[in-house]
Amino acid sequence: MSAISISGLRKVIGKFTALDDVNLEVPEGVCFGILGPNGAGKTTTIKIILGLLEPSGGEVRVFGEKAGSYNVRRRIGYLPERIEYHNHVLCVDFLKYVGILNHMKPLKAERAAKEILAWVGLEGWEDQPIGTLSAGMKQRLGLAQALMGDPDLLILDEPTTNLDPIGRKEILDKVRDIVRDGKTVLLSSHILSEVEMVSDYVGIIFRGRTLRQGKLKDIVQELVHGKSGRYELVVDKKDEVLVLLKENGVDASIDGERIIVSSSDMDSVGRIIPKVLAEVDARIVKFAPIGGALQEVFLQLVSESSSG
Amino acid sequence: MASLSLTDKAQIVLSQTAFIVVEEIKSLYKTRAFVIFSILMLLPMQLILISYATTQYPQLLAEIEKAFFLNGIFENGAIDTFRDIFSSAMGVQTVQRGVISYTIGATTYYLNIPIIAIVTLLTCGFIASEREKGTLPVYVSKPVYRTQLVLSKFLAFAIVSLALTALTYSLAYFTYAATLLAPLSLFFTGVSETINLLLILIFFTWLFILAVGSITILFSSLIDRSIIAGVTSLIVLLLLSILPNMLIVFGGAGLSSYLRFFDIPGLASQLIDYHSLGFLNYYKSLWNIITMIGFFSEFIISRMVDPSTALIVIVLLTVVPLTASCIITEKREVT
Repeated sequence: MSAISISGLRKVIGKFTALDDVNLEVPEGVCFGILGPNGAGKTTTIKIILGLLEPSGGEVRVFGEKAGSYNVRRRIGYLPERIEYHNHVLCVDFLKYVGILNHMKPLKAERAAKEILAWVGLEGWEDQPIGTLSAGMKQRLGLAQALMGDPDLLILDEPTTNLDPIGRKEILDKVRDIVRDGKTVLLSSHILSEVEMVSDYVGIIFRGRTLRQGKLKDIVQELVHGKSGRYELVVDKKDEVLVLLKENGVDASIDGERIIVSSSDMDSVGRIIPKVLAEVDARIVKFAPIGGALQEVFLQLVSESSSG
Repeated sequence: MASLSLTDKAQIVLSQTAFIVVEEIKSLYKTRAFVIFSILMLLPMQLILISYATTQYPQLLAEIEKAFFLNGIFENGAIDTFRDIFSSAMGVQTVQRGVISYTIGATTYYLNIPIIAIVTLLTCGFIASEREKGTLPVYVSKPVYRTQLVLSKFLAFAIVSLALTALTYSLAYFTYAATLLAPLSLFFTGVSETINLLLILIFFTWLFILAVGSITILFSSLIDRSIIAGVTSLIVLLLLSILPNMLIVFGGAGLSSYLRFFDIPGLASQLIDYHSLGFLNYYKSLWNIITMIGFFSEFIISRMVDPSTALIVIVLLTVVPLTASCIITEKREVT
């Protein structure tokens, strides 16, 4: 059974169609990344899944039940995109409150709150007012809050906005641990490299429509490999390699220490490069798509959708 | 996860609500608005007590001593004197004076604009600030009914404001009692005979605070910014308590006869007068007004509500806005 299944979801706010036709299948026990530029409808979709907004059309089921129903809410943890806390409230009190909302007894909630705070690395901050926390700490507090009550499904809306690279990595590492524990995570982001780091499945939303969804590997395979793309190649003996590549009809150029290979048919280029390298006996250091595979997919899909 | 049976669910909802109320009270007393609320509740009473101790009490003592030497004061006479002095200090009508709305005392402050302002300040953020801060989406995505959240906030506010009101009036009552009912035996009989006056003051001032709070919570659930919700509610409440008086002066008696039902301070002070005087004395003093001020008494009488109606109206003014804010919070989308 899938954790979330959305079909034909529409949401009209005033005269503005926020969601046109969103379809998503989130399997259980995976990290699912919702991708899309700002204003694509990621947050609206998430809010409908949580029952905060009423859909204008289509169907949303969470664990087989109606989205936002009481029983579903017992199994969900949620970290909103924008949350400012009441600054005077203590960290542990806030988590305790959320725990009580999750049907925990106050003492049990307090114990769980302390454990979770320690797990997200906020040990020693239990009795501090939330106002004294840094942005990164607040985000970790938000993650802790979402984990109260041991939910089966965790919905994280842009969990890494406003964070520095270290804070970002900390959050994503925790997310990976959560998925390893067998929970389902739904994560939205417009930062592609992030989603690539943690998600096994992605759904790409653009202008309120699902462009593509499925296993990340499959999508990248289908759209990038065997088609156009720009790759960087770092080898020793780069001048000899460049000459040979050009002789073989590959569009290549030198950019500092790396060779930029661009082609509309990566399949054949992929066969030429090893041959060339073997010929001059060059040692390969790096061969990777520029900007990450997902970025390529994303740009391609978005340009297709915009022109079509 | 299996569905809950109805009894399990009821039990969970009830215990959860109780826990939330406790947490709300704990977080309420840490807010700045609450500090201002308690200072403005307690400070004026302190001032009244200071003026009593420094100027009124020595004079009273002299008069009581004089009365004792001239007439030989009896126990009942002492208790009656205490009741009268305390009543007039609190602004409650006494039998002897017999004129309603002309004594100025503590209730003139407590059932008026200052308390409306600070109750509004305290309660305006109850729902609006959760929307503003973005914590409401987190709370309502948990297994809890939104009505539970609204009601537990209101209950926390009710408990805290009852405690403060009781503290305020008890301070005054026991200061007056301890100084005017001097021998300990007289103190106990005096207190047992007059404690109903204290309870009446606490209860109706509390009802007044609850009605103001409940109306502000309604605005708080309608308007997203707590400051705007607070200001709107303050303006509406002030207009409602001032308009009936103004309309009488400018000749809009017809409209004011409807608006008098929304003058919450007026309703509360009338209830206090009625219950402290008793049925007979209350109407006797009304009759006094009519005979004393003749023609103009019509204006005063026309904006009075009979006490049992006043009680129903003030309870409705609490229950209806609260129910409305529960429904609004349930139905409104959380963005």
